[in-house]
Parts: sequence; structure tokens; C-alpha cells
Amino acid sequence: MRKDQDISVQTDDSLNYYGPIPGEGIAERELKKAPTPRAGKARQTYLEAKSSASVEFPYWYTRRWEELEGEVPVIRRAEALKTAFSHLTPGIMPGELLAMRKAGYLRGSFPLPWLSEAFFLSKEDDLYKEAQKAGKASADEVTTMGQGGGNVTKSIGNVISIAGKFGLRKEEMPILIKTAKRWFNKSVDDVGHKYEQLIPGYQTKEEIMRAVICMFDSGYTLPQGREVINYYYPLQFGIEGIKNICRENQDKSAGQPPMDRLYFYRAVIIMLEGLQKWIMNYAVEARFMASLEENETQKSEYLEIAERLDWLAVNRPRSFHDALQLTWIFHVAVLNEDAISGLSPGRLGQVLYPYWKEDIDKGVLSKERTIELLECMRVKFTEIDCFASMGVVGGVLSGNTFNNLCIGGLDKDGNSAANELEELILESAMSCDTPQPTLSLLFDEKLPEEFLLKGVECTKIGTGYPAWISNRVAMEFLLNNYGKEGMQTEEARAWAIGGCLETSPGSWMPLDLNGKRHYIPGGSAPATSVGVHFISLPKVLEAVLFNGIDKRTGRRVYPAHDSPLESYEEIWTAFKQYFSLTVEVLTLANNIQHDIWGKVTPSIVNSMLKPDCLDSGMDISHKGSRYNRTFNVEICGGVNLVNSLASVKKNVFDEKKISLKELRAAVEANFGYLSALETGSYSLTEQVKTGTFKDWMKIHKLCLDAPKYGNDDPYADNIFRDWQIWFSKMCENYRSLYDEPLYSCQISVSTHAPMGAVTLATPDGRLCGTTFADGSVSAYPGSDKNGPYALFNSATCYNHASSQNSQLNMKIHPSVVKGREGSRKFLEMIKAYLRRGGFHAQFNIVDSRMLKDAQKNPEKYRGLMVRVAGFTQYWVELGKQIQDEVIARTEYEQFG
Amino acid sequence: MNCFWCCNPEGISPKPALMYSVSKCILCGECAGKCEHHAINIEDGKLNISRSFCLSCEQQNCIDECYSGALRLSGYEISLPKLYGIIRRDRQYWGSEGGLTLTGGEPLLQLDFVKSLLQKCHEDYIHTAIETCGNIPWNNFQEVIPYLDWIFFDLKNSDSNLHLKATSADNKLILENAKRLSTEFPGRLIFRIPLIPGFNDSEENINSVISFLKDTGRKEINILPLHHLGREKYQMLQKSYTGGSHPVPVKESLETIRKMFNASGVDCYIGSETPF
Repeated sequence: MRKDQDISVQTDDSLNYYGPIPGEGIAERELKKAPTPRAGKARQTYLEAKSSASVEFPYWYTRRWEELEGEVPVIRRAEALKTAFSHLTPGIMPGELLAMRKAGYLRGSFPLPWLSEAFFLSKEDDLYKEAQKAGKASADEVTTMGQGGGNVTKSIGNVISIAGKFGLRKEEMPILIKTAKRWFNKSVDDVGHKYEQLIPGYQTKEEIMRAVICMFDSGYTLPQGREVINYYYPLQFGIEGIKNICRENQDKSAGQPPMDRLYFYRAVIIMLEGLQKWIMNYAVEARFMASLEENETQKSEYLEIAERLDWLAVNRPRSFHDALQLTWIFHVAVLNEDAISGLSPGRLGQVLYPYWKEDIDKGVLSKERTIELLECMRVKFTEIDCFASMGVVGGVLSGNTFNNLCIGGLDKDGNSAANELEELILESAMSCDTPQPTLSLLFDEKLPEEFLLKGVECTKIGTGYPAWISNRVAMEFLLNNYGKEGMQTEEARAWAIGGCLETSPGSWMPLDLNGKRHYIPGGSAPATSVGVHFISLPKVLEAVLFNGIDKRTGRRVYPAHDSPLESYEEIWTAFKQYFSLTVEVLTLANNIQHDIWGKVTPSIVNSMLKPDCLDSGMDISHKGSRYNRTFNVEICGGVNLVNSLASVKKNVFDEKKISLKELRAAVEANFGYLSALETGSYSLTEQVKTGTFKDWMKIHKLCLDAPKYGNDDPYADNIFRDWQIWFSKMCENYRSLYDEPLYSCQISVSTHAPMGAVTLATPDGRLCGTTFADGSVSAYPGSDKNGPYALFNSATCYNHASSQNSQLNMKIHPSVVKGREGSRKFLEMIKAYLRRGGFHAQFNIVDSRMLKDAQKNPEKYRGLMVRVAGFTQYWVELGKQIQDEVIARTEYEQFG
Repeated sequence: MNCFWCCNPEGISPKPALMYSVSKCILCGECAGKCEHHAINIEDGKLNISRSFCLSCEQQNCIDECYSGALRLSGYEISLPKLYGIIRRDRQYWGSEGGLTLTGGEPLLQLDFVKSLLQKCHEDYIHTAIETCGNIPWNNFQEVIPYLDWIFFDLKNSDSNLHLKATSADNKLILENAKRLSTEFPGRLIFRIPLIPGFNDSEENINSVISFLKDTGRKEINILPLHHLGREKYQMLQKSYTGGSHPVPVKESLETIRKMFNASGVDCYIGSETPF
């Protein structure tokens, strides 16, 4: 649009003649496609819905549990699940093609007090205060929850806000409190806590939690997830078929060692009876709704749902639609048995391909109908809410549930596994751009170029997915880690991403369909990201500089190292000591918590699905699944650690420009700035100076000018590499409760915000309370000054396969990847990074001006999505810390 | 040469220049105290750099003492091995169609360096291109031709007097070089017109370019429409920008010019909408 204005002002027309030119207005995202009317309507309804909790499930679960005092635990658990599933009120929405959801509400979920009950109790409650003492609530206190979208952060009228996000009807509150109290001293949290106190160094563990050096315990918060579900058994056998397998095995195992098998098979049968009741209740509801419906089309759709559910409650799926519905049912069933984040459908397009191809060939299914179904599936996945405490949901997950769907990769024989259904999955993700399921493209040189370009087109929309992931690096990691449990190359190809970015082992399972055998991939290990969760590396370094004290609280966290710190090596040694101690106490404590989890609330639904639990008769907490080396150590703020070490090495020891004492003083004085908690902005670029700023500006400049990771500068990169090599090696010194060594994991999800919030200024010049660098190989915002290729080189200075993953987040201005030429260049760049040994890269293709505008006018941007860290989320549902961080990420306006 | 519309004014002088960003400056005065040439002072809450005293000296005390990042030098010296190291690193990420383009200022003024760099790239199968104003001795071209794949060559105005007025050089040598390149350079030679409304967008000028292309047997032209994105850099150099008085070309006139070229059998690319 041309307007008469000052001739020197750049107009839109002339902008088009050059590539990357930052204009005056906000650059629009390039591609936009509309969903089908059905999915568009469902998405709109979703956007208007609030996160809603209910107490049906916990009430019935607890009631049945208490009735069965003295019963074998796994049977007791199965009965409780069965009763709870049977009593869930069905919720069917008009226009749905796929039925069933977690609970009756559209964004329904429910608390699981048998895991942890403390956070449902009011702050005045004595039981709550008890829980506070153990340092458990620290993570909640430093977390900000997104204030917009569907989050219910404040009580309104008859709706009470619980856990900082969920609305609960007022009259249900007393039931929740009463139910929660029944679990006092019995929940996984409480029982685990009783025993973890017996570990040597427990006091240190508690102080580590209080200082938020570690974000949270994993045993009772999100015991499952970060894994790939396996839909094979229901698809191959149908629910009744699985029950038959269990009945046969029950007969064979009764009275025979190992004795636990009998109870497991029995428990699976009981649980499946509960699921059948749950499914049939939905069928009844659908028929009831049909009876009230006047619109003939809608009426017949309800009846179709009823017929399909009745069939699937017993039988194998007959069609693509059936198969999609059945996979969804089991996805929700697993989600309902535990507090789970990161249950990934995995390579769903390859699992369902045999059904889809048959229907297409028979002419009973069209591509248009497929898109509509897939779009509806996207909305269903987006509706999933995970109920946990605010520190977990807000601080770690940013409200995301990480249902990662993978496309591409290799098939069993090593050929490209990409198929036409996956192209439609990409298309539906473009037309119906919802955060879930997020997509990951498993890049391999064997994938066809057209498929990759389709992936680029989708990434360019600005939704942040697919993330681009190296199949080769993943396979190397898998064979290193799971090779010791017998994994061969062929099976390594069956992997997928579980959760946001956790490389998870899979298996090929033989699916028989109309006389043909297909090998479909699926997960074959339990949660791959449990154990030591998110150690804040800059905070450990802070403790090193201050001899073991947490400066924020003034409490002693670690035993004093009393090292004079007169050389860089002495600092590095003290750091290794503190870090090792941290991993040690957290491993011991988490082993106990996870063991208690397996004893009090063993997984039955997910266990049944995972090969080879049905063969061995053992659940996943008894190593029933094929692979069990799944415990890891996760870290946060690695780049700030490396930059800080580089600054100390350069300024204090190599060039002796400042003393360590001066540096400590500068860090404590926050280089003369207000802390981020005072300014309310968590990004480095928007901090406010105090009157003492000039006293510290020389030291601050030295810190900022010190070598930084991300610039292809060997000074910083060598420190980074040393750290990486040491880290992945040291993890193997610790053993999980399954007596397997731990491995290193490099995701920090959203923890870089709350963990940055409690950390003083760091020697790299980062200011107090501001967010750490995101991801694991992303540069600290603004510190990568040599362009993206230098960053890529820094990122790949060590072998990414030595860890479960690595993570590179980049923000790219839409103008850079504009047009067809832009797509091709973008793909070349992604490929080049992955070929160099990069494991993962993901992109926010959005103008920062748009994000700033969205911060000011959230109502205009309800549907705007951004990539955070292995996941895509609605902008308005993100906490302010993360919003600031995304805006501050270096924006590339040019390649090279 | 010194063209009034130049968007890289810091590249006009062969020496790097001190650039000053008012918005970043906190007026702490540290730079003024440390400048050995007394070229900086603060008066009435404003920082002044006296360009006649500032020598863009090697010490760079002012920049070392600048804590807000308001002062920087527009360029730096780099050795051939170091620069080639960066190219070697970056080529992994370019993809098959990437390569090296030298631009400026006028790159061929640094003949020895440029020649060695191009030679090295050529040996290592790196695609090479150069953007030139053409106003340099023929010998400079002759030296680098063997190592170049593409040359982008500016035709600013066919009228020698107007050319002289706007760029401080006439077009005699430029046109000679252009003709010679079109016979002696085996690679791709692409002529370019930086299109400045009111200076070289007349029908007459376009027609003479067309006949020049006919004489030299060229079938393509790249129009670079004027833009004012370099304006801030003039401020940072404390120079005045006279290009601002010319409007940017409107789409219609660009299309008219495109049609004129097309009618004579020449492909006309506008801005970065090119096949290269």
C-alpha cells in the first residue's frame, strides 16, 4: 500500500526488491493456510476454553484404593484405575470426529494426590507448612505462569484457581482437600521423602533444592513421559485380544516363578475392563446426544462415534479412522494413569500408514478427509493439559505437554521411511497450526528432497515445527547406550523423539493387516528422562565463587571447599567437586522416589503397551520393557557457565586484569544494575542502571568482552568441549535404581528462566535474575557476533552423540527465508548444520517487533505461537520470563 | 569514486572510520579523556568528534574506554590466512550454490590481497564473484580475471559529465574496461544500474545502456533501485547524506524500464530478484 509520505521513508514496494531489510512495520509470516471449517471451529472453541480440573477421577480412585487395603499393590492399583476410568463423565463436543478426552471438560484434567498431595492444601494448612520445610516449594516461588490464554491463574466467582493454572468448581474443593488429605504420608512424595532422608548427604540435597540449584524431584512430579508410546498391541490384537493374551499367560504363570507375573497379568485384565467401560460410556453418551440432536448430519456423526467406540472397546480397528481413534484412546488412557508430560505419539504416520494406504487404495478415504481427520487430531492433542504443581507446569514446561510426532527417519531395512501420510501430517500442521502435536523431522540423507522442502515450508510458517533432528547422531547415541542391552542397528532405526527432545529407543513390531505384514515403529523403553533433573550450572559456579554459600538466601548449600582459587584449574576442580556431589545426592534421592513410585503406583496401562512387558509379565518399574538404561542427568545454563569460566580464565588468570575478589564484588553488586526481579524484565537488553553503574562499568565491559561461546573462538569453545567431555563421562559413575549407569541429557526446557531468576550476576556479564541462555548450544542472546556459521561451528565442537541430545534455537527474521529461493537456502543451511554433527535445530521465524507488540496487546495475538525449547506454545500462555527471553534471542537477518 | 547515494559511506575512504551511535552513548566522558589527539569533547550534553583531528588511530583508546558500545571502528585489518579460515568454515554451510562475493568500497583497489584470495578460492573450487565500480586500471582486472567466475559491473550514467558530477569521476575508463571485459573475460559479466530517480532513470540513459549492451553482446541487466538504508551510517560518521533528496523509484517506473530492456531482448532483474 503506497501512501504519500516523506520520500525518504522506505515503502513496502521498494522493500521487496532486496532480501533481508528490516522495515518499519512488522514483517508478516509468509505462509498462511486455513484449516477445514470443522477443525477451525474446534480450534476456536479450544482457544476460548479454560484449563479445568475436576475431582471425579481422584475421588473414585481413592475410594476404591481404600476399600482394598491389604490387597497386592499392583492389583489394588489396577482396581483403583478401573473404578476411576469407569466413573469418568464422558465429554463429547459437537463436530468431533475423534471422541474421548482426559476428563469431561474440553481442557479437562485432574489432580493425582497419590503422587503428591501437598500442593493442593492451602498455605495455612499445617500439612502444607510441613512440606515447605523440605525446600520443595522453592521452584514454585520463583516461577511465573503465563497470564493469558486458557490459564486460570486467579479465582473468579465460583471457580477456584489451583496449582497456579487450573480452575476448579468451588463445590469440588472440599472433596479435593479431603481426598488429598487421605494421601498424607501415603503419597509417592511423602513415602519417598521418608526414605530419601536416610541417604548420606540428605541435608545437602535439601539445601540444593532450596537454593534452586536443582529444579525438582522427578519421582513424584512427572514420573512418566519423555518417551514414545507404543500403539502396537491394541492395533494388532484389539482390547479383547490383549485380555486373551493375559488370560493365557495368567494360566501359565500362576504359581510359577518369577511370582510377580501372575499379579501383573491379572492387573492388566482388570485395568482393560476399566478402559472398556470408559469407552462404552462414551458410546452411550454419543447415542444419547444423537437422540437429542435435530441436525441430521450431526446426529449421524454421533451415531458413527457410538458404533466405532462400541467396536473398538472389543475389536481390532477396521479402517484408518478406527486406527486413529484407537491410538488416541490409548494415548489418553496412558495420560490418565499418571502425571505425564512428554508422552509422544512417535512416528504415528508410519504406524497408521498401512491402514491409510488400504483405505486410499480401496477408495473409501480421500486425502481431503484425511486432512480433516488429522486436523481434528491436532486439536485433540492440543487440548491435553498436564496437572502438576506450578513450578513444574509453569517453570519447566511452560504449560506444554510435548506430544512430539516424528516424521521421516529410516525404516527397518534402512531406507527412507517418509510416506504420503506424513506429507499430509505436515500439511495439516500448516493448515491447523496448533501447538500439539509438535513435529520433529528425523533428517537422514536418504530422505527425498521434496519431503524435506515440505518440512521447510512448514517450519517457515513460523509455528516452530518441525524441529530438525539428525537421525545419524541419534542412532550413534542409541547404539552406544542401548547397545549394552542388546540393541542392534536395525532396531536403532526405530527410534523417535520422546517429549521435547529426548532420543528414545524403539522397536519394530509386526502388524498383520489383510494378509500382509508391516513392521511398525513404537517406543520400547519407559520414561527416558527421569533421574537428576536440571542442575543449574551457573548457580553451582556461584557456589564455587562464594565457598558453598547461596548468596540469595545466605544459606550454606555445599561444604566449604576452602580452596584459595588461585588458578583456573582450582576453580574448575572446585566446580567438578560441587557438581559431582550434586549429582550423587540427587541420584540417590531420586532412586528412592522412583522405587517408591513403582511400589505405590506402578504403571499398568503404559507397561502393557511397551514391549516386552506382556511377554515377561513384568511392568516397566521391574525392567519389563526391552530397554531400561533410561535415567539421566539434565543441566541448565551450560553456555553461561562456559562464558563465565572463559571470563574468569581470561580476566583473572591469563591477563590478570582484575582480581577474583573484585570480580566477586562486581557480581554481588550486579555490575551496578537493578536486579531483574526489581525491573520485571528478564532480558539482558532491558535492564536498568543504578547510581553505582559507573563504578562497575569497566569490570562489566571486561566481562562482556571476554571470549564467548558461539563465535567460533577456540578460547571459549575449548572450555565448552572440556565441559561436555567431562560431563558425559562423569554421569556413568552413578547408577539408577535399575542398576544401570546414568547418561547426560542437554535439555533445559523452560528452566533457564526460573533458575536464572535466583542466580546472581555471572562473570560473563549476565545480570542478576535474568534468564540463562536457552537450549544447550544456543548462544547467549547478543553474544554471538560472527553470524550463524560461526555459531554452528562452536556448537559442533564436540560430539553431540555423547549425550541424549543437544539443542539449538534460532530466531530468524521472516525476510531471510522469503520465497522459493529462501526455502532452498534455508534447507541447505539446516542440512549443513546437521551434516556437521549438529543434533537438533529449531527456528522461530517471526519478527521480534511482532512479539513485542504481542506482549503489549495479548488480545490481538491469542493464536500466535512461538518455539520455546523443544516445543511450540501459544505466546499468551508463556510466562513473562520466557517471553522476554524469546524476544532477546539473537535474530538473524542474514545468512553468512 | 564517491557517489552521493552510496549506502556504505564508511567504505569510501580506504581507512576505517570511527562510528558513533548517539542512542547508545551514556556521555560518561571516558573516551574524551583518553583520546591522545584531543578529537573528542562533550559540550552541552553532546559528544563531538572532530573529524579533522581524529586519525582513526591504531591505539583506539576511545573505543577501549567506551563502556556502552557507542563507539566502534568501521573496519579492521585481517590477514589472508585468517580470512580464508572463515571462508573455509563457512563454505560447509553455503550449500552447492554458494560462493564468495567481494564488494566494497572498491575491492580491486587492494589488488595484491584480492588476487591472492581469489587465487586461493579458485584453487579450492570456491565460486568467486566481485562487485566493481569499474573505475580502475585495466591491469587490475587482468590480474584477477583468471580466478573470477562472475563480475558485477556498475553502469551509473552514460553521460560522462553527469557521471563526473555525481561520482567525482567521469565514465571514460569505466566504459573502456567494460568493453574489454566483455571480450576478454570468459566468465559471467553482469552489468548493473543503481537506479537513482532524477539522475539516471531517463529514457535517454536507458536507451544508451541498451545500445551499449547490444555492442558488447550482453543479454542481461540488473537494476538496483535506490534505497536510503545507509542513512544512519552517515549520522554515525557525522557526514551529510545528499542521496536523501532523491525519491526511491516507484514500481511503475521500474516496470517501464524493465519493459524497455525486455523489448530489446535483454533480461532485466530488479533488486535481489535475480537468478544468481
